[in-house]
Amino acid sequence: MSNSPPHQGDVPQDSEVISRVLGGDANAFDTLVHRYSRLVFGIVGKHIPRDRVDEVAQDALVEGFRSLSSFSQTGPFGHWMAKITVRCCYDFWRKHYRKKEVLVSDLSSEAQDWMDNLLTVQSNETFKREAATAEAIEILDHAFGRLSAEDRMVVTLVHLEGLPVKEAAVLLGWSTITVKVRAHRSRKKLRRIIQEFQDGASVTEEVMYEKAQ
Amino acid sequence: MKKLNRDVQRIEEALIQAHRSTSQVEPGPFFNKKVMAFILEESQTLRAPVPNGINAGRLVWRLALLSYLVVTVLAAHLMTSGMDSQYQISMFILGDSSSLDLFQTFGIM
Repeated sequence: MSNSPPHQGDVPQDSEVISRVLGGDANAFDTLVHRYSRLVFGIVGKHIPRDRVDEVAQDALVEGFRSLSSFSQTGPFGHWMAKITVRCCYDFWRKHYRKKEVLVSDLSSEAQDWMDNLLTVQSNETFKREAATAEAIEILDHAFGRLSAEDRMVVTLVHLEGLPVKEAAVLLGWSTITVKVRAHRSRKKLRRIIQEFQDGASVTEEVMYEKAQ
Repeated sequence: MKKLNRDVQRIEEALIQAHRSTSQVEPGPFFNKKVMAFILEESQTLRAPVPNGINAGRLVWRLALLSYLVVTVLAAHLMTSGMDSQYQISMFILGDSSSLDLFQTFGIM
């Protein structure tokens, strides 16, 4: 997350731009879009499938414009924008789970083979090479498809990206305890799903029930 | 069982690495323009941003709290003082006899 860019010559600071936008100059928001679209894309790209990143990133920036009056300016604009972006990603998944658009088909045979191969790999380098494959991403997508929107967000922020619980709580707007408890439970669920993949078993009714909730 | 857990952990580790190694998505060349076009087009209908000093949303909620307090205090006062509507209406008419005609017109008294 980037802070407000330093003041260089004629480059206006974020606070000045924000004042202009709040004063009715919507065009001034263009400066903030240019400054923060990469940050927004970076966050969205970690949570949302690539073909939908544009759409969610746009939603986040438009939401930033709409809610600009609620930005207290006590912290950097980038942090505030990051919070909005994470919540937009969360909203995206909530809507998708409601519409039942999430992939629940079986894993491909390549992905099944990938897991078997991975367990036989000895060297670290081969392990890293194996991890950076399309099969790994496929397994991750399938596993996430079987988690709820809340679990997906928490697992991504805390376990996959390695953010501290406190920071994840700020981004999601939840309490630290909620994130801590959910992070623990969702990791257990993820491991159970991986176990099922490994066994080649189908999704348990319990996980499906939890997702439906 | 231990081996099974170790296997799951290893796969989990690989998945974490896979997630971290995915390349960063970059905005396309026209993305910023597209966003701004949307914002400008919608800015007429969007809830216009309000300057921080005069935040209408906060003001409304503060007034709501104030009105709640006023209504509660008035209700408490009326309950403790005892309210006799007939007595109060007659007091009102005596105090403002011009309204008497109005009451009679509508057949209230």
